[in-house]
Amino acid sequence: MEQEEKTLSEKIRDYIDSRKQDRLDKFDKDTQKGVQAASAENVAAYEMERAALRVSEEDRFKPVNWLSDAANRAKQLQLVTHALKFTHSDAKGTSLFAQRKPSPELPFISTSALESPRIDVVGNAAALDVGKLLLLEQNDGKLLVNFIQQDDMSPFESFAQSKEQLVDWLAGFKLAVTAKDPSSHKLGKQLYWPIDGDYHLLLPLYATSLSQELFERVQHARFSEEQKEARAARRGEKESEFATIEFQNIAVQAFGGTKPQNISQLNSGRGGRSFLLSSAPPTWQSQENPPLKVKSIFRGPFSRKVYGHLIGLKKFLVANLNKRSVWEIRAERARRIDGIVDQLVAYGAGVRTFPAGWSSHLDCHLPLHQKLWLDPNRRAFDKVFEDEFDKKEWQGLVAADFSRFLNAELEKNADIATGDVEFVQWKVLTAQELRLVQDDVKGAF
Amino acid sequence: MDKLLVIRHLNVEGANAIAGLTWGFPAMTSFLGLTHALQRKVQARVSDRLTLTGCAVICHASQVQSHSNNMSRENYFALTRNPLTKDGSTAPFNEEGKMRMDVTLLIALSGPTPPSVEDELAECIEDALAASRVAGGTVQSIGSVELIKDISSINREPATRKSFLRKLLPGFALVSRDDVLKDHIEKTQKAPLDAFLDFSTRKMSSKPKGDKAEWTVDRLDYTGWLKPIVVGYQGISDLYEAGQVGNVRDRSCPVQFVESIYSLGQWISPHRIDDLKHLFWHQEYQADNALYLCKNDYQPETPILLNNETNQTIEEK
Repeated sequence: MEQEEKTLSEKIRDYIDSRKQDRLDKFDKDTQKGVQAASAENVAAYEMERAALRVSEEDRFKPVNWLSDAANRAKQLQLVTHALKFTHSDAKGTSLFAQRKPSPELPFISTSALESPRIDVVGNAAALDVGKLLLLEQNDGKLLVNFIQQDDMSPFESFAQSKEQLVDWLAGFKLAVTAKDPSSHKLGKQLYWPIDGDYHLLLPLYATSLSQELFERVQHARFSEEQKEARAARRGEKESEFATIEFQNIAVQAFGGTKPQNISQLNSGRGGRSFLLSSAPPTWQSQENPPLKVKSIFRGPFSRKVYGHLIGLKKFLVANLNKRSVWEIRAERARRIDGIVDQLVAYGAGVRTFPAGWSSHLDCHLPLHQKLWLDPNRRAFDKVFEDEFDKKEWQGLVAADFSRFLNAELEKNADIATGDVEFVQWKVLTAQELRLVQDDVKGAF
Repeated sequence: MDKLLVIRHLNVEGANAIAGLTWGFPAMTSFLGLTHALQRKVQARVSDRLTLTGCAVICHASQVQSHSNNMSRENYFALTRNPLTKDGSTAPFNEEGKMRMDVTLLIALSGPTPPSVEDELAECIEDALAASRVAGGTVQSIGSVELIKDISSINREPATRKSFLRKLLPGFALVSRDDVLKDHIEKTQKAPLDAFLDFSTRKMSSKPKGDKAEWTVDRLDYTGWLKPIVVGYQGISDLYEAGQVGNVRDRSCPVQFVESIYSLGQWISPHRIDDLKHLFWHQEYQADNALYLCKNDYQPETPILLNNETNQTIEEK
């Protein structure tokens, strides 16, 4: 706990000491190797030489010297929340430290939705140690870089020999957080946005802080002790205070290949990987084949498609069984049923994209009215089929099939009274829908 | 909206499958950019009194060129590494996701379209599309381009509207659901990002059941295919005056550094909307918040069953 009570100045000193220790350890090792490699008569001279060098090395790591050097090197790197190099690893141009305050009234997610975005470091990898220095954190979470942004040099006061030196350091370190002359690059993205007959040129930068936040959450869901414990409890059907979390359909985007540190420090920490959330439309995979070898689409192909919807509807009906049938409940119930009818219409549209005449296949055991519904273009070359189609009886039959299917599904749950008045309406409703389907088919010729 | 350009079954190869921190479909900015590019061509070649004011996208089929690793349940993009540099070594590599898609675009059009312009317009659009990049990909084929002059009357009449929309099946239209995200943030009092990620995760929690525990999926209060999407850009720097920023493609217009912003979108079956304008997206600039937005005015439909019910109660009274 002693660690936490340290002041920022002490942390700076510790940081420099640890750099010094690393450097000297390496130096001593090299010396040892040198001694072994040197011929006997040269050893003494070599040791003398190394000892002198060691003194100068130690001198380099005196805080005042090291800080002057660091302030001088600070311009080689930049602390940012948005980086250009993710757009292309050869792009050279402005990266930014954005300081937009969160605006909770806007229903949009961006870096400004983060309370304390993680800061990334871009630039010369040889100056990354300066970046680490600037990201040292005070006990209340305020970073050294925040002091610099506010022109507050108090954490450095104990190290400086003069006021002038402090001013120099501030100027040096500031270069790491201020955008130099803003510029883009031929490999950066640049796009026009039309505004009242004119344009703004937009230069999108990669939100590395936001990406980091997503990355950490995915990693937490996968590897944290808390989640491991919760998953173990789930497997053993035991209780857990934590919910298990799975990110679904994640994709990986790689940056920087085998040299992720060339892009940025956070990217290096992520192993050059970033996660992407799926925004893909629903797929039609279930309709790679027409519904052959089944006696009704309601026994198999279609029922599989609406399984989730049905579970949801049943749960909803059971939960509201004994409540008064208020507007909200009726609206929600209607919406859920609409959703299932939608699936039926969409399913029909999907099957109708198969080449006309598929329903004449030997393996097609569907009743005639379902064939008429799902393969209407077969009329073009099948006179009998066309006559049956024109009788328009099939619509009512399909609608009846659908009502029967839905009622049977709901009857499986004894709690739900299927005698409910609303259910009669389904048949009416689907018949309406199917009449409209016929209009479309006619319109297509 | 008085007229409509219907571009059916636009097959695109190699479109961007990555949009900001999302993957699976190009950002809406791509389609609005295409709409604007078409407008410039139409104005130059056909009539400068025509404007293309908005765009709707219906996706019939899509396939991302990716593969998944069953162990980690992650998806990886299938990539090529070309062209090579002059000396034959591989060029620095920037990972991109590519996809194929079959989409229908509805483009809102206003301005006079006498019969002489009509044919020319469809031809111009077809030519322009064949020569355009669509979301970074190339157009493989175009089903048809059709101009509908009396869209308002089609839209007003439920039967004709439904009939029109049903010809867009099978497919899903992308609409914005800012309202759901906002509602979810308010109801749960979560941080916006946490609320947003709820729509990309599957959570299960336990309840005691006898001496064991029962684990069930925590379902959200919302139904439908809700997904995170990019809805535009937000400025992260000052708006620089023309010429202040180096190495830009155009030194005559103001420049701003931006980042992508996200919200929720929903893929809906297009045939059940109440009003065609609910499908359309358009661009908007809000100077106060430095927002460059793709806006969509989707309103959740009133369920048909409910319509009948309310009608009945009114009649009973």
